[in-house]
Amino acid sequence: MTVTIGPSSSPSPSTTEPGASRPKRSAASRDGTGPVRHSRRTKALVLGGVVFFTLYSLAPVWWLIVSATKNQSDLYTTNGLWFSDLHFTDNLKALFTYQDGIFLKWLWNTLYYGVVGTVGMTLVCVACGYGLAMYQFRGRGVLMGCIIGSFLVPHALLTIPSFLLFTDLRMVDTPSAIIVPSLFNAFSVYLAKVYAEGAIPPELLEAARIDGAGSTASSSRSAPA
Amino acid sequence: MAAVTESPSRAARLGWRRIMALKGASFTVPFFLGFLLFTVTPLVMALKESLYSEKGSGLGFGEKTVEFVGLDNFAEGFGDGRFWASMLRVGLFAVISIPVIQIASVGLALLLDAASQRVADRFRIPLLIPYMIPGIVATLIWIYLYSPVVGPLTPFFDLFGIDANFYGGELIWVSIGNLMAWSGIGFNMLIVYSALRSVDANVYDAARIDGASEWRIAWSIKVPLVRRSLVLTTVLSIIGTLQIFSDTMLFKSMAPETVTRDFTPIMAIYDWAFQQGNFNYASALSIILALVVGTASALFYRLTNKAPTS
Repeated sequence: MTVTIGPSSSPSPSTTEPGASRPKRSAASRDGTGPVRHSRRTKALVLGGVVFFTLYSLAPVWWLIVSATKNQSDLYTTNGLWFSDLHFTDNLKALFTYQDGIFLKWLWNTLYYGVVGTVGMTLVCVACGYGLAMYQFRGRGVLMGCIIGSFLVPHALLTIPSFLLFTDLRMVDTPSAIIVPSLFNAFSVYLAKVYAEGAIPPELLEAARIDGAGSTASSSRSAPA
Repeated sequence: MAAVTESPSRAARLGWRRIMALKGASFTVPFFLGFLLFTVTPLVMALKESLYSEKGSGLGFGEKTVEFVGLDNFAEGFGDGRFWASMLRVGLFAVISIPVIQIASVGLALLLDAASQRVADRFRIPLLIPYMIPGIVATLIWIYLYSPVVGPLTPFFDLFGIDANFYGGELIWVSIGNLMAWSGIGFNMLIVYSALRSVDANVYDAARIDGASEWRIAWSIKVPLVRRSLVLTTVLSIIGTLQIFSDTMLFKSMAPETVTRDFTPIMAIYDWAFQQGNFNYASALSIILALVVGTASALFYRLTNKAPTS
């Protein structure tokens, strides 16, 4: 079946007239029920739109990569979107020898906080999201309300009280002041809950329960879904 | 995690349903313990702060005393013209930028959905790269791109005879909006796209057999089917946009005369808390902001849920 798109190439569906040239198509679409085959023009428009967005997404990153290979004066005098003299290794050397290689320490910190925080957060939040999605219990609505409500709290509000709290807990100036609070991410719980609702059919859990799997077993085995 | 251990006889008394409820609840215990300590506790501390005020005794010499002032900070906040001016500024920005970004995201998701599997697979990752770049780094990249000295954009617009000053009062919100679109479209597109993919393709085939055009299918079937995802991404955008802070803070370093210290509500709050050292008043303003954001999100949610589904 052939399908054509109106003259507007705007990616927004709201600005288009639905079915501007319908009669012609309705006749054409009666034959064949295989996968959709778009006309050449439609294909070109779709591809053009996707390419446009991709260029928009990648151009700034391209500029960043190109700039990383330049020295200070070339950065200001040459075309920002193309290479001139390559100084990439010099820049890398400057970066890694800056203050006796403090950048390596920063990289290590990022990795350490990132890995420990993410693994811990995933365990805590996926468990919670799973519990909220798969079980009915009293107070479930209130807990969901707390999670959604916490999205609204401006972080600026919590900064100073958090600092005072961490001082009381003797967490200030230790990695745990960053890592431990990051384990309890309300947004991750929300995502985990929504995803569990969509991805794990309740029948699967029923079957697992009938087969005698414990809750922890069924949560950890159905998690790959 | 606290395992539920019950003896068989007691278990029988409680009943299957009750045990399942306990098990479900126990999954949520670790998170909510941490949530209580690291979110609720500071929140309560801030609420308490907002009811107090630091007053200097005498002529500003002498010891400062902390007094309970009830809702005085809130009364002052509701009458704070500069704070509400920043709220209005960001509110207007949200009203324009969020629909534009959402429409672009849905458009992109529909394009990707209409493209062949091969094309979609090939382009999905590049389209998500801006989302993978941390917010501050994205802002820094664009600050350089906008820069009249280093950036390629000013000479580019010069070619068309347009004298674009991305840091001027007229264009500053366009610059910020473009930055938010650049970092946000990929994520929104992904959510909508995955919702589109989960739709049974038979629905489209049926519509095609009935003679619906691709535009018609996109507008009358696909968009309504992804409405829940759209509401989600829009509410998140409302919350994120009204609380915009780090982007404007970095823009301030480039355009201090355009981006003032109370350009956005959170910048005003930050200024009160850390520049003026009035944490009590800053807490009250934060609570007012949270109320405004909550009202806006709830209103949007209510409106979109009332509207007919198709």
